[in-house]
Amino acid sequence: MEVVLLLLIIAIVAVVSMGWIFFKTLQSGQYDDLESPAHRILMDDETMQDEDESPAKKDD
Amino acid sequence: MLSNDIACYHCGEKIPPGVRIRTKIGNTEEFVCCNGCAAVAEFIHESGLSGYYRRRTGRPKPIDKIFTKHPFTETEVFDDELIQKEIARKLNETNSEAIFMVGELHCPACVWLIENRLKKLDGVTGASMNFATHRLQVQWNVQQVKLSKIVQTVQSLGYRIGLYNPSTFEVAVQNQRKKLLQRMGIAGLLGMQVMILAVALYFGAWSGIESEFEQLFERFSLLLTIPILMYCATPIFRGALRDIRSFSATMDVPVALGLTFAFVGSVYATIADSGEVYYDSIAMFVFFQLVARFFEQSAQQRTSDTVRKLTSFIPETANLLEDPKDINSTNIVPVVRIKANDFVLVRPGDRVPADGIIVEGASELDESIVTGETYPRLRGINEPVIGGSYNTSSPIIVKILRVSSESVLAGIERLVEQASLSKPRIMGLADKIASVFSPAVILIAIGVALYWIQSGDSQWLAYTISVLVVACPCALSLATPTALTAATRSLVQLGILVTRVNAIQSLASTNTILFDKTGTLTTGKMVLSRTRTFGASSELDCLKIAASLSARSNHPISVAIQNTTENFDKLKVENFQITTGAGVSGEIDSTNYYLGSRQYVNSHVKCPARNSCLASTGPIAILASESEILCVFEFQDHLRSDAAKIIKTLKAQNIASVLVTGDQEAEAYRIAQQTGIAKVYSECSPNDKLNLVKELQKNGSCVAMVGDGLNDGPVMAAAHTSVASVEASHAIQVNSDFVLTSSRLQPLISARRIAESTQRVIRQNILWAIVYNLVGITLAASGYVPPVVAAIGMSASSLVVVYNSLRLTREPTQANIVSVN
Repeated sequence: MEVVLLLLIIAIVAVVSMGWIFFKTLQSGQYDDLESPAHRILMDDETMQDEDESPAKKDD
Repeated sequence: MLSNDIACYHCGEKIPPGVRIRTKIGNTEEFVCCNGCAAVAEFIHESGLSGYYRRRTGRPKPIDKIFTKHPFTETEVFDDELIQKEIARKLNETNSEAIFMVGELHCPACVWLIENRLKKLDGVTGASMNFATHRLQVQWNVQQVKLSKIVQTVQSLGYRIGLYNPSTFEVAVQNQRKKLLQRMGIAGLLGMQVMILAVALYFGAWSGIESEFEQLFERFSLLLTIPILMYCATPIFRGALRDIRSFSATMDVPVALGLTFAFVGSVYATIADSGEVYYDSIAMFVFFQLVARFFEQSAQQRTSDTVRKLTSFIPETANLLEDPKDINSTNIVPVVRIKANDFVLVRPGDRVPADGIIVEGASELDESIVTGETYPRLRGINEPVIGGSYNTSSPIIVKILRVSSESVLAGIERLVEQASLSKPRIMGLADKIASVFSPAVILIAIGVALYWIQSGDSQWLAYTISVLVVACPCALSLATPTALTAATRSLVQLGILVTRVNAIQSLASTNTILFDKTGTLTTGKMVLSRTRTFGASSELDCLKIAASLSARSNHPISVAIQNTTENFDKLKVENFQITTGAGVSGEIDSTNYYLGSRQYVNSHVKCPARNSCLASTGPIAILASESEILCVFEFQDHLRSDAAKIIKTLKAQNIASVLVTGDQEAEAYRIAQQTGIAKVYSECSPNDKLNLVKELQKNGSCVAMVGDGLNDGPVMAAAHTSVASVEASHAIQVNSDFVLTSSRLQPLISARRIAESTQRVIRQNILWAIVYNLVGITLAASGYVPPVVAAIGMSASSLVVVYNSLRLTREPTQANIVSVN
């Protein structure tokens, strides 16, 4: 009995902390844009090659 | 001469014959189609971002089609304090942040290009572009870089960029979406826990469980369910309360009742330690409801974002005159700064910033945004001008009388709003059922309770509660929203945006469609339809002379000539003169030529034009030398390519098409004849149109209106369904039910077909849900439905409904798909 009670309490603590983390991720805007990050990471990979191929210059 | 199949380096369009523009990219020379593309390609290369051309998967439009002016647009307005205050947010002493809308994004490489180019600007500390919403978030150091420079940079890359200032409604919708997602997540998390305990209880019911464990599990389930009802389910209860107060019936009422009964019954069972608990059903039900609502809202928000993308969003500027006498004392200011009694200079190609009166000059003004008329009107000194109209020919000075909130335009917008409030609503089938559902369930429950009490069964309360739980209309409440959400998705793919989801149902029952003429059935742009020569010169020579003469004028007729003669080499014109509202003249190869209206040409030419050669339905322009009439050009408003086909298809489907227009009878009949429309109402004022719609509605017709101008606003708002064409003004697009996203009318037919299948799917869903509920209620009333059966039944019936609705998203693959971007 005591073990089951303990497990249930642990479960509730886990749910509360998961809920809290979910709140945080929501507030940080992670779910606002679900499309661009996937593309961005692929595009950035190629940046190194570009710099050899064309004269990159810093703007004023 | 170039061969025909060379494509533009930047936009990939075929380079028109005769165009020979080269641009130096690195060590090679590339061909481009226009100066805009050349400038953008060079700029991208100089920035060291040529990798864009390798990465991209989509193609931009030719730059000269995106920007009509070079250099692209005036950006000084972004440095104005008022504008900055509106859009920028101070992060600290030196840094600010602003959000922009960017237009013409076509593939993820655009995101890469914009972000990387902006990060190369000194003073820009962060740039992040959202591909889904087309919003660009920039952080910059105000001392190191001006906002106008940032805006210029994005424009130089070939994108339109503008302010992002959402209406309060849009902000509310965005916050609501966040809240909904929060509720959904919490309901999911807690629901999983409740479900774990429920499985233990199911097994207990099957093979026996010690009562102390049963009690413990039930109490913990109760504990976890309380936040689900108190927090996650609040939108459902709020909706139910609102409906009860306003005596209107929606699905919220029976849903809220079902939840309440299930919860109260379970709490009673937990405390009294007898009977069944239904916490798992409650948790699952709330979760399903929230998921459905979330998807419904996401679909709606996506369309409102797309409507925003379609419209131009550069803050309008005006040339304010410090001294009304001195034309050089202009100051470019944002339109919001203009006050009554200010003097502004309106150049050709500019918009009149607000209602006023002309104090100097005369010009032809295109007032189509307000009146819907095709042809510009000549306005002279002391004549009123309407804010929002375009100046097409020569500069004028306007004294402002009223600013935006009291203007003619704002008045029409108010009229649109009022009319949309009185719009007749078609009640959905689900709403009709909802209004009888709750009373019926309660009556049945009372009957069941009375029956068991009378037969002396001590379990009567448990039976009654199980009836109420099983009767919770989960599948029924999902029947309509899921189908409408799925239909919205496929409509977007077909090239039609849905701004009011419920309108899909009224579209299905439409039997009369009213078409506006200009800008709806026609493109609203004039084209050269016929050329007749009278003198010694050939048609080609006449066109060449006309093209060279009209090159410096913005009049719609000049533009039409320019469009036909795009690839001609221009002749050198000397002594060029424009007479506003009449014509142009100039000297070519030491001969004087005149191009313009009949009166204008007759007053300059020795031998006036005969009446017989001037007969025409549309407007004409005459080209003449000093001694003789050379040529008569006839113009027509061009019909959309698929207009006639659409009318024919509609006729085959027994839908009446009606043409309503403010234009002259002859012009209206010409269009009607070409398209095959039998019923024509010409020379209608906005009020006439409104009365016509009301008349039709009184006779039992379900009316859809397809239009574009603000003058169509009131009638579109009054019709059962309204469709805005792609060129429609922003106010019209926002207020109509559907927006076409391409210049074709064909999506109308597909939309109607999808609306009909949506109706069918909704009917199937409702039928299924009712059958499920009836069977469930009968079983529960006759004795005993264990909680596990209730839970499985409820989720299975809901999933069937959702799956059935998803069939609608597969429809577009059968038709030809138009991509939206």
